[in-house]
Amino acid sequence: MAAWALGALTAVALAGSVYRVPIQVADSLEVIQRVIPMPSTTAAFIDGLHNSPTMLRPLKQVRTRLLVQAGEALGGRYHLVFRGYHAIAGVILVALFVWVCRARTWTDVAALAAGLAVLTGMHTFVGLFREAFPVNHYLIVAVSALATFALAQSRGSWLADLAAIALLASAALSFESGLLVWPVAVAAYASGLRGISRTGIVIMTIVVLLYAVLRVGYLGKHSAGIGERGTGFGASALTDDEQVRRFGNRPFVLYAYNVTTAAASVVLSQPQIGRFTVVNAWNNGPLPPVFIVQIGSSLLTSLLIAWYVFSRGPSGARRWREPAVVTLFAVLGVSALMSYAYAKDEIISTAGVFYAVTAYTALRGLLDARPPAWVGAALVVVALAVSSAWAIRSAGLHLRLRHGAFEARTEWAYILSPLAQATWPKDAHTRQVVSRMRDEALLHPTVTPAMLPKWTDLWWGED
Amino acid sequence: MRGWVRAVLSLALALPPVVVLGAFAASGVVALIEGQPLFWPAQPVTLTEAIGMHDTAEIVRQIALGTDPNRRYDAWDILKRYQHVSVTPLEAAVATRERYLFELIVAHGALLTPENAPALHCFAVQEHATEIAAYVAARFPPPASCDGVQLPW
Repeated sequence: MAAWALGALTAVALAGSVYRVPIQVADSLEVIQRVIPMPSTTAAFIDGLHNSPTMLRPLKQVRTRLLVQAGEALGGRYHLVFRGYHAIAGVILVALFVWVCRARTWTDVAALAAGLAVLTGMHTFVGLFREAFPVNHYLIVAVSALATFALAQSRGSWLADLAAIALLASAALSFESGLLVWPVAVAAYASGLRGISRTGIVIMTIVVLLYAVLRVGYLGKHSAGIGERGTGFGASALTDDEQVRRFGNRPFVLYAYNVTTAAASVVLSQPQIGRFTVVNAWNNGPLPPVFIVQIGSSLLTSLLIAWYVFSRGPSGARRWREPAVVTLFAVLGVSALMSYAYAKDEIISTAGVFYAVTAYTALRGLLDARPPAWVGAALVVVALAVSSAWAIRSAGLHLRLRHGAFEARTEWAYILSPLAQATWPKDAHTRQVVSRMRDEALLHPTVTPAMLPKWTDLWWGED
Repeated sequence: MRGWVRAVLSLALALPPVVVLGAFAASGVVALIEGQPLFWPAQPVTLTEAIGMHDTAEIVRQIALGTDPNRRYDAWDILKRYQHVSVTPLEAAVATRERYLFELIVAHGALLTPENAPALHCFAVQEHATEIAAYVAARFPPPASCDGVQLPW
């Protein structure tokens, strides 16, 4: 009960901030305008199969169309529908986290409180909610992956298999990273969880193969290559042209860098988006506390996880074989590989979620350990420091979402602008929907980052 | 681990997150009920303050809700550090040196007329807002001299 109360606190806090972010314009309004005139949901699905040489995301368009229709059915309440969807998805994610953690005792609940702070304080977590396209597909992937892990923990039945297969298909057709559901199921099975049966795993593998055939063989999509998107390198960022110039004839150097730093980002909070931002901060004067809080908390938590991974449980079993640990490594590895072309915090966001699950497991293990009394006293001090740091990081999530709300709202000032009537949607119905979305976004004031105290930059970083 | 050490360790782990989660949960509930959160809520600003902070959405919202873009409004500690100034939205845009803000306000009803153009041009020259000075000059001939032209500061 206490675990669910903690989960409820987290979910309400998250939902309150997520709901304040307006529907965004960039990467979003174009999709909305595209699906509105389509004759049916099937048409939106088919269009999603063919509308890009690199992306296969038909369910993104289907979901967008359904949400627009729901908004219309509610009398033009598009903000309620789109942002309510993200708030509810956040609640589901937190509920799944509490579910898979299975806190049974008061000490478990204490570990869960810290685990929830790790979950919401990870720098990768904000990417699940800050932007939407117009639905955040990274959030869909994270929820699907965690739901699959919960299914693997269950007693299992044909229904669990069916649900896991449906989650995989739905996530993969929403976004390429949705394929992460498969390594989650396989890792959970390999570590001894039998909620998803061997038959279920085999069918999921067939679904992945069918996806590959559909994507490459039938639709002829190609993957992202070098120079298709800006990325960080060392302490700076590389433009598309710079990537081609420096790594055009040896792309595997950049790919290896991206994969390695993507994994390091989850474990150490540096680099972020491929950039060692701490180096620039160090060179520019006194190191702001945000770096000490982020790197310190991640380093100590990762050391705790490492201790847990290399230790043995009360029964003498090796802990590196435990489901949470194996699944974290699987998701981290595959997510890092998916980051080969460019670094982006959102790509590793599901790994961040499983990092928090593993951190909870390690904290629970710590509370069950039997160290000498003097070590116990030192642990109390370290635990207080680490948990405070994660709590601070967790508060930063809400600040980041305020920044996101400001940015998203600002974009609407130029939509349906009297200065650019030529860019207005030609279709009257689409124009009406866009106009309503614009009114909803503009009429809800958000805090202006310029009015935020300067210390927020020091503790949570500049946006 | 001894019972009391485990209890204190549990408390050390749980207390900071529970405090933060509780505080932001309360903030979230207030946001859902009242429309603004407890932490970092939107603060009321005048039209010229919104311009000074480049808050284009707030500019459009205020004008859409009836705020006159041709009157003077107070701005505190935004256009001039630790000072109150009373300026028109167009003057505030000049003070930011951002042509896109100037154009946005004009598009939403601020009047650039033969009467206010000389002062705006001279003010733009004084504030090194060269793009805005050019924008005004392209519509109204700039004055031969800015001597005697009354500027906001």
